[in-house]
Amino acid sequence: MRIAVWSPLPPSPSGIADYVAETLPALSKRFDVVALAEDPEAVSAAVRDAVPVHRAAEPPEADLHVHHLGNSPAHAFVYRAALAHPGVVVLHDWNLHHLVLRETVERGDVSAYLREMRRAYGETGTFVGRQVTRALGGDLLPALFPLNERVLEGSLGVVTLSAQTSARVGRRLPGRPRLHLPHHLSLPLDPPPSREESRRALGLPADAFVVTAPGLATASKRLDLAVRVMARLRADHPESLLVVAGAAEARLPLASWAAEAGLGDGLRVSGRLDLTDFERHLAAADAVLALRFPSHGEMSGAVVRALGVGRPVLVTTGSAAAAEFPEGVIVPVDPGPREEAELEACLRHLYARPALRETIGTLAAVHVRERHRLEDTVETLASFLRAVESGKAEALAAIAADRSGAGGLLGYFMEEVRWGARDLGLADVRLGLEGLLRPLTGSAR
Amino acid sequence: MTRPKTVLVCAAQAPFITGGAEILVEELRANLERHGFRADVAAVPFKWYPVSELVRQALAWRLLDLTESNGTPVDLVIPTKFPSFLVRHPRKVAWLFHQHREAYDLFGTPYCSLRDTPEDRQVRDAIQVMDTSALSECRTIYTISRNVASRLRSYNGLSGEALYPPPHHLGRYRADAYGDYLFYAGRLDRLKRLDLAIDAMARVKSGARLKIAGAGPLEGELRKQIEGLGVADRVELLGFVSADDLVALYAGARAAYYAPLNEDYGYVTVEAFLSRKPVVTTSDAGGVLEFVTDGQTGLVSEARAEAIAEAIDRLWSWPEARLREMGEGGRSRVAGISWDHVIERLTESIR
Repeated sequence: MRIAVWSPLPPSPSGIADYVAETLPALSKRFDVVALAEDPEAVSAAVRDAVPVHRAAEPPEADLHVHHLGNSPAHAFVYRAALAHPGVVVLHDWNLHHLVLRETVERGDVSAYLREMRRAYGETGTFVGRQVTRALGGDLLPALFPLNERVLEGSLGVVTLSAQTSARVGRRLPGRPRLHLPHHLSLPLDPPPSREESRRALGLPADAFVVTAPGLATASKRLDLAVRVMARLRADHPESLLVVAGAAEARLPLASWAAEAGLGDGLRVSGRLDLTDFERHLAAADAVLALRFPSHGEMSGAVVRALGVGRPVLVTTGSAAAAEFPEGVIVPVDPGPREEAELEACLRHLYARPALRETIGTLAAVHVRERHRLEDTVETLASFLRAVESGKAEALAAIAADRSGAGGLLGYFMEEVRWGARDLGLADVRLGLEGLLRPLTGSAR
Repeated sequence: MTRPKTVLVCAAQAPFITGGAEILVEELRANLERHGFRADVAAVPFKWYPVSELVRQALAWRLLDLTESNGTPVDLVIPTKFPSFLVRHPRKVAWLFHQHREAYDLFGTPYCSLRDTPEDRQVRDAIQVMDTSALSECRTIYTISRNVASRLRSYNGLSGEALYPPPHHLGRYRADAYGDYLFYAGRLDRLKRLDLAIDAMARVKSGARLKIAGAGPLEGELRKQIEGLGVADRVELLGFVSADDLVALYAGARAAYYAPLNEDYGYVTVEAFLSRKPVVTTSDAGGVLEFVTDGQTGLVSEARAEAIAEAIDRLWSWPEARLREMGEGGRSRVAGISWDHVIERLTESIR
């Protein structure tokens, strides 16, 4: 069985690229796997050694397509492919709004974006879409409207990396094959280096209280309040250090936040890291800060790695990471008005109790090593892919019927009526609209 | 015993609003019953705003199956105004009150909520296409006026035959005298252009007065205009009046004023003629001009306040005998309008 895997691949800065690269060798033991990339020559040698990499513009025949979708621009070609070749969507982010925005508005086609919003959310979608195209509503409006409907409805099956996202898919597409696949644990250094060893390698002080925020620093990672909290902690405990293990988004005013809060040289930003140094940063931490608000429903690979090296990880209540792991394994922080105070209380508590940090870290490591093994997750995925492939013909026919009126006046009419059903979670119900509506289109088909 | 033929009158309805169309639908149903049919009204709420909702709301009609009800076949459906004619039925005879005029003759005018944007043009075009298709399914298309038929011909390429609806108080209209006031009865909205009449009243040189019966969204604005122009002694807003008062107000008027913009039909004209009163109107009033002939059954002026004032003064300068003669001329124009005729034509295919 030939599987075509569509995804950004290393050295793409997307975390999903690393995730997929880690799974390809194990997957290729079970299937004839080909990977699709926009520029195969740019893909890392390790990946090309594991599987053949084809140009996305010239995809080979495959029994099943697997589309790894996230919300970043690197996934644009995967998004287009998922619409063109129905397959299994691995939904790394629940919310694809920014991706759709880039594919429409930023390519100069505002109408296409408004059509997508209307198709998915009716009158409210039209209204919100207009606000977003006028740059109103900040990040919150896009976070509330995931714009994943079209790609999910055109899929043969959906894989999610969190139970929370899987439940959302189930509500949206009852009856569609779906799989909640635990995010695998992958550590380039296994067993992980000790805290002391890591700090020596990274040049971090051995006796510091290190709080590490892993990954690209973005506005939704709550670093503004983390900086203020760490500044207050540092006033009482000068050895406290906030380390951003990754690069920071250019527009994020991290330095001025640190200056305003008085954190000064208590903030370090590593810049982009390879996976080995990334793991060392996690191992060097006393606590790992992985807050996310608004959450786009993503499951963070950094969180799984941080748990795997046995560090306490603070996550935002309600986010996919918080819902995925039992309390005790992670430390939830409520994103409400008391978020900053709660974060400070949690960090002071952890600062004062090294034994508690060790206990939480040990529980975390045991949990993910038992339940997030790469071989197990790939085997689970492989079984799912086989099951989807066996029902592929029928599913493809249903999707083709669903799309039969796409484009033109008939498509417009059908979308207008379908929205009511879609809003009730009835995307898969055949409404028999074509026969009712085609006569209204006259010659304007 | 043969089963009475069943007829469903299809109405687009705005909940809590009863206007001329709703009254006409109910009278049609009652008169169908009077003629021995088993008749009912299928009314689906319709919301025409925001513009993005229009097409979806309209398509709701397409999803209904009105071919039978509780095992009883429906022999005939009579759609009335947009979007009720989207209904599916093998025997569909439309009596078209009007289409969604904002997608037709009102598009691009100040009376239209659709803008000249790609999205709104898509809505307009979709409405035109589905109207043409759905109305083409009708066995016959009747319209409430030649004006509505003419729009149907020019925008949709379809033929319709005018079938005038009788006014609500048919049989009760009378002429008592030719008094000192012009009379208007109807909804106070922008398309009726009462602002033009009030402007004209500020310019008349005769002792003409204007009485306006009815309510509507423009009432406050009109009241301000009356105060601003200092014509409160000549223009009176009566608000909603009873049926008896309405008939009496027509009966005592010197003439009626009715100058809406490209009106579909216009009961005022018919009611005035049945009361043997001439009508003052304008050359762009649409359906009104199917009855009013300048100098014979009324006066037709340009749609300017000065011209309307001049027409009113002319009317006031004429003796009562001439007014009576014009009123009688009007009455003979509308004498053939009756429910018997309407029902006979609409139900021809199931007799």
